[in-house]
Parts: sequence; structure tokens; C-alpha cells
Amino acid sequence: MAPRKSKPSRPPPPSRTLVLDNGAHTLKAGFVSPDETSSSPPRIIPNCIARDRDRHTYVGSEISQCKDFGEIAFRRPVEKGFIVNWEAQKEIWEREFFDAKAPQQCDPSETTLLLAEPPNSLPVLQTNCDQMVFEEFGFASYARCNGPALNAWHDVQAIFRTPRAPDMVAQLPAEVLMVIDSGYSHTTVTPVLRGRPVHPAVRRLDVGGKLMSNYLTRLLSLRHYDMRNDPYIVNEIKEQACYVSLDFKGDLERSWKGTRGERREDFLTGGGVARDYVLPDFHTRMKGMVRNYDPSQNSRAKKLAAARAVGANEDVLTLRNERFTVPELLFHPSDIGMRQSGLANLVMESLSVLPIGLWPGLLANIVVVGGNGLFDGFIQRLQKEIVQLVPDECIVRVARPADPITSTWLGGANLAKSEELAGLCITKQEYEEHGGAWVARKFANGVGD
Amino acid sequence: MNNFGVIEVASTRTTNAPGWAYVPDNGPQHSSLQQPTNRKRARNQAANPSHVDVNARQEARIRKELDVLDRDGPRDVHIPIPPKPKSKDGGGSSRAGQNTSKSTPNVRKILQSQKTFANHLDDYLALSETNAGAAAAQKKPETSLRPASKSTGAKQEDTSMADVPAEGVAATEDTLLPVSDRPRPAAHPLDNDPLLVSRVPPMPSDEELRALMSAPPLTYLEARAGWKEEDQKYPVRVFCEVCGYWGRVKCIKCGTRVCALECLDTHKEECVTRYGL
Repeated sequence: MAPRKSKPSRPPPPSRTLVLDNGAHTLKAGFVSPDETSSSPPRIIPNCIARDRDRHTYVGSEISQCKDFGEIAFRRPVEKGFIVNWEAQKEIWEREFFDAKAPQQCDPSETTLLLAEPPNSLPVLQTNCDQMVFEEFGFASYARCNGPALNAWHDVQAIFRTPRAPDMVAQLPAEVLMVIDSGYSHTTVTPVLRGRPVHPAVRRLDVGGKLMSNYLTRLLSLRHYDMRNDPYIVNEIKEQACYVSLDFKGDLERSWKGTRGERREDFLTGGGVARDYVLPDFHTRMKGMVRNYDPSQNSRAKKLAAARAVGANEDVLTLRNERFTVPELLFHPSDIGMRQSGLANLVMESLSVLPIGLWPGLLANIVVVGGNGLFDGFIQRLQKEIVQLVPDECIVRVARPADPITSTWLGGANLAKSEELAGLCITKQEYEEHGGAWVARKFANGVGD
Repeated sequence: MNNFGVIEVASTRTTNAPGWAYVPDNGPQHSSLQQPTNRKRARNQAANPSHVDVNARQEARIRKELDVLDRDGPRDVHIPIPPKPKSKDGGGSSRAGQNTSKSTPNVRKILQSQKTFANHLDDYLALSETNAGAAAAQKKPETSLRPASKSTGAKQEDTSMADVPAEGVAATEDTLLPVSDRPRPAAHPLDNDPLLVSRVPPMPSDEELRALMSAPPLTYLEARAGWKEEDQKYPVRVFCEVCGYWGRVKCIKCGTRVCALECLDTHKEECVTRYGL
């Protein structure tokens, strides 16, 4: 190898940055230029290859053309949050970004890629990712960042609505922050100091949207219809009807039918818990719909009569304790026999490795991101459970950004606009000069990582 | 004498008929009292669901159910990558054409790999185990024989670590968490009142923080949430497998939990078809 120059003159980094949060369920992608002051929201692209009943295949955002989601099957390139199947991932990226008619067309040789990855990845998967980015797509420069840590690049105090002096400007990245990222594959707890994760305290709970959807599928298939071939519909039901209960015992009591021969009052009236879900049939009704439980339609005969009267042929699922026992898995994974601690205990586990002086700051700045943050009651329940576990003097504040799904992307966009990005990136020349192992080390102790 | 859990109790009233009662069967210590002499019987009793709440059979069932819940789809489907539309090929050939011809061996290997995450994880575990073994084996001769050329591997690592700019760890700021320069709130006469004073733990020193921040990431399995004492403080909640209410009753035959008689009847229909009468 030729002796290296003292300081190779770096070509100026490309001005355009593709910020990509490559989630297991959806990709969040958008371009950022440093001169822009406000960034447009990212495109949310389903990260899957889907095949419907008629054996028609949709790649990525093409799924919006799909009319019939019955019995749809998915193939996902991301497993457990990490890009595993590059064959499928490449196809999706190419159709979204690189093809001539791609909706977000870009030329990789003139673009910086900022890719968010979940913490605690396997080295081999990281290497694969680096190789694909440089050798296959040929991005001019590239930074692989810890996804949860990107959330520090927000005005965090605005999320908490902390009162402050009018002349104070939020500094980025936030100093102290605890990020709970609850996504499709898993839920991670990451303490972040000045935009960098505290690695020894990162913890992961293997409960995510996928597990909850599968659990709901099982419950519905046992109690109502066989939904095992309709993952799309089950996911819709979960997103629309499930909530995190603030009073689990009470809600469970209210949704119980009673023992033999007995029908409890709350069961008959719905008790505020039961909801009807009208299933889509993909002919007249394209979207499922939640509506209040109608006790008069409870008995089968009445139901039939009503159907005949209206002339509409609708299938209704009555959801009762399914609504809150499914998200309950985040707080009690042992309910399905999983030997892992619940989310509140996980936060304590993470804190226990940290010096106690950091606790007040972290506990007062807990931000929940990821799609599961959208469950009603999630924030309140988490706050309630953490308060019970920490010393009395600690103030516990849990909040979620306006859109928890794109929060990581927006943080990445803010990072891309700042000057710090240049220090994080690896250019293609550097990769070719120093090789993959150097790049892996550089990302392992980089600023944003 | 094995009388199947029925224990005679002496009643105060004298009757001709022998008095007996069902007594609660409290867990596994009871079965060990009976001391079966037969090895086969011992094994079967240990696996008897009425004695131990979660026994091997149920453990296996739970594990299987969790695996199913962890799967991405309900069944194993293979969806091949659809061919690109013809119209796109004409326009986008500059890239698509390049790729097929130019892809490096690395890329080809990655693209053709059909490994799942579980495969990668197993590989990683096996690799780290062999590495640990090799390191332990290597360490001894190296330190004793020739400390001068102390393992090229370690040296390489050192130099390249220095090579990677230290801008990450030694950030431009002097301290990791600077002290707030905001004005302190106005003093209050009761600030020193022992009832009102708040105790704030001291901040860790800068060196401590730096050491914390420069620690390497945990591996995938190390970061996994544990099953700690804190979590075992309360017994695991059990639910009715039919309706989802608390599982207060257990099926004698298979150990499945149900809430009450109605659900037990529903369950029994299924239980009979699975296990017979």
C-alpha cells in the first residue's frame, strides 16, 4: 500500500443528503439540503414486497395501487430491525430511488446517505450494509447512525412543553435524553447524551408491532374468524382499535361475560370497552371501521334480522379484551410466557448501569418514538409505571413527538443540515483506501453513533 | 401406599363409613413425599401437569407459540422479485446495466445469500466463541515467549484505532455535559428548610462520563432484556385461554387455564378431540 498523504484533500461533500430510516415496516426517506430551513416531511414507503390473492406482486410504494388486501402476503427485507435480505431491499431501493422513473430519484454518486440503524447490530450485517452502499449503489459519502440517538436532534423541550424564556434558543443536539423506540420488530431503551447513545445502557425488549399483530391474529382466530391469512386486516384492527389500559384489572373485569348462565351488565352494554369492528370486504367497503358496540345487535338472530333489513352484508367483529391485552404485552411480556421484563422495568435496568447523577436528567426527558407510541394511553401508562419504580424525588416526564413514526427521520434531517454531518461521513475514496474494517470502527465510535 | 392423593382424615363423629376428604394438592413437594420407587413412574409424575405449574411440556409449548408469534407471516411464503417493467429498462438502463456487469464479488455474495437473521446470529455466536477460545489459547505463549513482537494483531488494532480520528470521543467541547449558564432562580427564605430542601445526586465527573461514552456497544444478546428478580417479584399472570379473563381454573387433563365453567366446557370439547376422553 502506498504511503498515505498527510491529509488527502477531501472533495467537498455532496450538498444533497438522502436521509433514510430503514424500518422493518416502513421506510422513511427524504432529501435534505443544508440551505433549506424547513424540511418537507419524508415519504413513508412500505418496506415490503407484497402479493395479493390474484398473485399480483407489489414492490414498496406500489402497494398503494392494491385494491384488495384480503389474503395478502408480505416479504420483508428487514428482520428484527436489521437489513438481512439485500436481494429484496435492493429491489425496493432501486424502484424508489435509483430507477429512471423512481418517485424520489437521485444519483448516488452525488448524494450523501444518512442511514439510521437500530442499536446492537451484528457486525456482519453492518459490513454487508457498508459494502452494498459503496460497492453496489456507489454513494459519494455515507454515514450509518444509531437511529434512536437521532431523536436528540430535535427541540426536545418543545415536546415536553417546558416553559422557558422567550429569548432562549434550543441547542441541538439535546443534552440528556432517554429514547424509547418502539417499532415493528422490537422496543429499545437508549439513553442519549449530547446526541450520542450510552452503549452499555442500551436495552432491548423483543416485543414490537409484529409480535402484537401476530398475537391479535391468534386471539381473533380463536374467538372469531380465522384471520391467519389476513395480516393486513389484523394490523388495521390493531392500529385502530387497540389501546393501552390504564386500569388493566378494571378493564378486564368490565369485559368479562361472567360464569355459566350469568351475563354481566357490563358485558351486555359493552362497559365502555367493547367496540364493533366492521371488516372490509374489498368490494363495497375498502376500509375497516371501528364503531361503538351496539348491544341490540348482540344476539345472532337480531344480527341476521338487521342485516336483512338494511340489505347490507357486513361482517362485524366484537372486540372486547383483545383491545387492551395486546398492547399490554409491552408492559408484561410474561403474559405470553416471554421471560423478559416489561418496559418500565427495562428502563430501570438501563438506568441501573448509569451513575445515579444522570438519573434525574434522563427520567425527566423520556421520549417515546416509533409506531407503537401511537397507542392511546401508552405515554400515561409508562409514566405511571416508571413513577412507581424510581425514587420519590425524581420528576418523571414521558412524552411523544407530534408524529412518533417520522421523529427519527426528522432528527436525522436536522443532523444533515448541521455541520456535524461532515465529521460523521465516510467518502467513497476513504472506503476504497482504508477498507471495510476501518469504516466499521469509524462508525462504531463516531460522533453521532 | 399410594392412594392417589386421597388422604383419610379422622373425623370427630363416629360413623361406620370411613371419613375422607379432598385435600388441596399444593405443588410439587407433595409428589416427592410419595417417593415412587419406579423410575418410569417418577418420570411420569414429574411431568404430570397437575403437580407443577409450568413443566417441561408446557415450557416447550410456550416456546413453540412464541416462535410462531415471532414469525413474519402466518405461513412460509416465498415471493420472488418481480421482473422490472420493460418501459423502465429503456430509461434506467444506465444504472441497471452497469450493476449487472459491475457488481463486485462481495456484492454478489450478499445478494445471493439466503441467510435469515437467526442464521447470522448463530454464525456470530459461533465466531465469537471460537475467537474467545483462540485468544485465550494465544495469550499464554505470547506473553511468556516474546513480548517484543507482541502480537501483530493487537498492534494493528492499536494503530488503526489511533488512525480513526478521535473527534468522536474527545468532542470539541471541554466537558460532555456543560454546567448550565442560566441564571439561578431567586433565593427564597425557606431554601434551607430541611423539609423543603431537595437532594440532587452529584453529577458524575467528566472522566467518568467519558469512560461511559467510549464503552463499546453491547452485542445483540447482551442488550436483550433480562428476567430479573424485579420481574419475578410477582407471580406470572395467567389468563383464560378461551376468553382472556383471569385463568382461575385449570383443566385437569391438559393443564390449560380457563376462567370459569362456561369456558371450561368450551375448552373440554377441544380437549377431548385432542387428547381423547
